[in-house]
Amino acid sequence: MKKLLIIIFTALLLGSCSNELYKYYDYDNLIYAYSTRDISEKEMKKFVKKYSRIVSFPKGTRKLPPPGACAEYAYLLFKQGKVDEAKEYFAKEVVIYPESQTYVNTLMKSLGL
Amino acid sequence: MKKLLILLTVLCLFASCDVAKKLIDKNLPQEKDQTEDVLSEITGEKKEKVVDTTVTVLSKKEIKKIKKERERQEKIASGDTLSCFKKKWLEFFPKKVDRIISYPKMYSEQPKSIMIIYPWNRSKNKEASEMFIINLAKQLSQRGYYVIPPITIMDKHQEDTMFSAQYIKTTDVKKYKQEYGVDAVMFITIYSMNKPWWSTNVNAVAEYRLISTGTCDTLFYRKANFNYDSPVPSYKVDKSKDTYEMDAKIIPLFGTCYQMQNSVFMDFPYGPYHKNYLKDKKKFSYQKEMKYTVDMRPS
Repeated sequence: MKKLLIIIFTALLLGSCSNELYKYYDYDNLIYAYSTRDISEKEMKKFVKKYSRIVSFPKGTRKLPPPGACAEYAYLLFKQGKVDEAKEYFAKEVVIYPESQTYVNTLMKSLGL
Repeated sequence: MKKLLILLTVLCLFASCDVAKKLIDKNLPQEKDQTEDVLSEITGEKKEKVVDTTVTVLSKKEIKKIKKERERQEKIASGDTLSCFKKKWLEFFPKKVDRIISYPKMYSEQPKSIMIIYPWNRSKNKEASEMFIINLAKQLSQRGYYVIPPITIMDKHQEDTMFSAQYIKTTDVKKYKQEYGVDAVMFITIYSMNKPWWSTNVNAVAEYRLISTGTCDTLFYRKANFNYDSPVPSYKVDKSKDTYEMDAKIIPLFGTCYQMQNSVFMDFPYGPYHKNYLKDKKKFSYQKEMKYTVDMRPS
């Protein structure tokens, strides 16, 4: 009887685990702040640092950064003037999500990269 | 004497008015018989008087019967053949429609990447577009699709305000395939997003349209009316110090938007990065127009 209870309990525990593909951390707050506030250059540094968590520590069932996160991070890095790092993350986006090739190319072209 | 004279003049006036009216009526051409008279004059034939002898007076019961029969025929003509009981039954226990039947083009075209065009905000809330685009991008990613990141969409809208669902026609989406390589484009129209001060209910109404960039066909359509009224917060706020805080007034609206995307895309077919990709054809789907209510207030 005890064993059965333990099995049911563990099954319930496993069932309640998050089934999400990606972990977004505080993505909502960041993007909402970006779209509604005027972020100065100084603040941009902090902003990028906070955003880096999404790209650097991917969680979720796929254990990969969410779609578009690397491209977004690269875009923010470019805005900060870190061109080489930006290029690196743009390339990473294409490697993880091959369907983003055309979009990344267009974005890089518009940024003059 | 004077009174008599006045009476006489009044009578004369009335009489003359009547005579004048009769004269005018006589001289005026009668519209009804004019054409027939002219025709009979030309042909020389005499007009036949038609006497209707088949007039039957119906009783109230018969009139009611005829009215009911007419209503029934009108209902059948409009395609409404269900009885009142059946309608109510289906309202509470709707028929299960498979996703393959509701969204056949989603399975035939199999889009992998989606671009969310900056929503057309017709509500009074100025920041509704941002709330929708952030939450929807997350929602679609979690369902296994590649979604163009919202920051670049928002920046593009700031550069060019014509880059909005308000101005872009659904028939002009083919250029996004060439420019961004996306398989489908999501158009959103936000009709309302408000929380009245006297109520705890938050209401949001929006229309979603997913258009294929290959064929310009509608892959997914839904008009949703979402109400959230619950003491349970609609959104879990990230309380870590190392982040930007949202305005306290915005949180319930943002949370309702988040809950709304969860509900609206609950039956959306899974994308290529999800383990259930193309395995959900036989799962349930909702109707095109839905009214969602999350009401957990103690009565």
